[in-house]
Amino acid sequence: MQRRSISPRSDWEKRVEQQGLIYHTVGNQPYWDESAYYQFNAAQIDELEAASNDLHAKCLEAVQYVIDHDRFAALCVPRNAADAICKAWEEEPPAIYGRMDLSWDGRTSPKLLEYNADTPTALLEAAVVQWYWLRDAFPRADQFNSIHERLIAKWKELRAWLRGPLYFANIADKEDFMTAAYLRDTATQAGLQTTALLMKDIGWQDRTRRFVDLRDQPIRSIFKLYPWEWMLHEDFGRHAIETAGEVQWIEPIWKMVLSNKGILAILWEMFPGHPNLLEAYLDGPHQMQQYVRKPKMSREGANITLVDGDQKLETPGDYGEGGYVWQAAAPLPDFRGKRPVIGSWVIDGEAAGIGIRESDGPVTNNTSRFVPHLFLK
Amino acid sequence: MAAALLGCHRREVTNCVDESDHVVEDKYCDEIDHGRTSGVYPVLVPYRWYYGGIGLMPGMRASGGSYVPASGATTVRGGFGGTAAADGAGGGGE
Repeated sequence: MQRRSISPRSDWEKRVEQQGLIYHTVGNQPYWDESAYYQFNAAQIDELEAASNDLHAKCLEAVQYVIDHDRFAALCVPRNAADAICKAWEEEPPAIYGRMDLSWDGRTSPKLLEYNADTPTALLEAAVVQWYWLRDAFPRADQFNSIHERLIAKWKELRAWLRGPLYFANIADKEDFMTAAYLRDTATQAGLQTTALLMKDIGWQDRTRRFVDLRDQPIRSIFKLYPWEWMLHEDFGRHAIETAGEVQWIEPIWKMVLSNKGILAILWEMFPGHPNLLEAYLDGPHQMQQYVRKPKMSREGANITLVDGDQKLETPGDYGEGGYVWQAAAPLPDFRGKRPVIGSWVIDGEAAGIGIRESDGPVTNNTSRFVPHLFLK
Repeated sequence: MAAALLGCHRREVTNCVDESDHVVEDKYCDEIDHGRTSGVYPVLVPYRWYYGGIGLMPGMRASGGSYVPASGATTVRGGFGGTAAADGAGGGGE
């Protein structure tokens, strides 16, 4: 694994915009950064793929474990949601996608930092934009990336299962809008009838006990780029629980078990010493000297405390309700001050590619940069 | 026929009917939802939802209801999305 500098394509802004990436620059800083790329060899890609598949399998075992041992309280999942999770888990509704964040230097074992299994973004840049970059910049090289094709294949599989049009709901945020629009595009390419909707425009009719769109038509199948943990705290959360068996939600509600960072401690409890897991606990740092304390339900790198002996570094934020998880520190590799985190995409339950976000500090947050990758056979 | 009892709330019965109000399988109305008005289906799709009345099996004739949800079926919006608005720290994705 190497980080190499390269000249960006002269018209890179125009090209990535044409591919749908309208948020390529944040402030004066590029978010899409093709002044560098990461290079892997084929064996390293094999290792990433195998580790991601193994971790995903372990995560599914962990959901079963949470259900079997009623560990919902440890994850601060409310009782009524726990029942809906158990039901959804039994029924096995389709789950489309997730992104594992891995710390890896290409030499030791990749370590799971967390699993964004419910509402991952940075999808378009991983699936499409870096692929076109590769074709332009290194047409003979390869890339760990079948995300786009796998998404379309999965939607095709769902054609017979879905009821009515498939709604794609998100909030009015540029990145969320583009992520939902991209996913909707892959669904349309798969032959599905789709409709876009804002989360705030989802309607509820008490009389008919159902969710409706802006024309008061029933919503029976919906992809939502909005976390379950937020939905359940909002006014319509109880309706989502009441009608759980009648509305096909993607991602399904059981994904909130995996996106809760408490699952990291449960994974360690189940598989202590696993090479791709970091030591983690729900009740304190135990004997760890270098660790990270994360709120179970934090997002975008907020409210993280890094502890190294007596040294402490805290990131700001408003999270913390619901308790914390203490996880062994896995410092991101340092490529002359650039710290990459590998986002490993799991599509329909299988590793399908990676996207790398890079930051200047030890915590990856929502201002980190996306840097493309390639591998040589 | 799509009808259900949920908790203590009684849901309004919904049937998919053809142009002469005969109940057909829900899938035909789903196709309307899909916006498919061509292909194997005629340009003018003769199916629509029928609200109210009683739950019926395909082939039976719906009556006692209407083509629009009963008055009082008011729609409330804004019950999702509030956390993101209050959060102010970005979107629902990460």
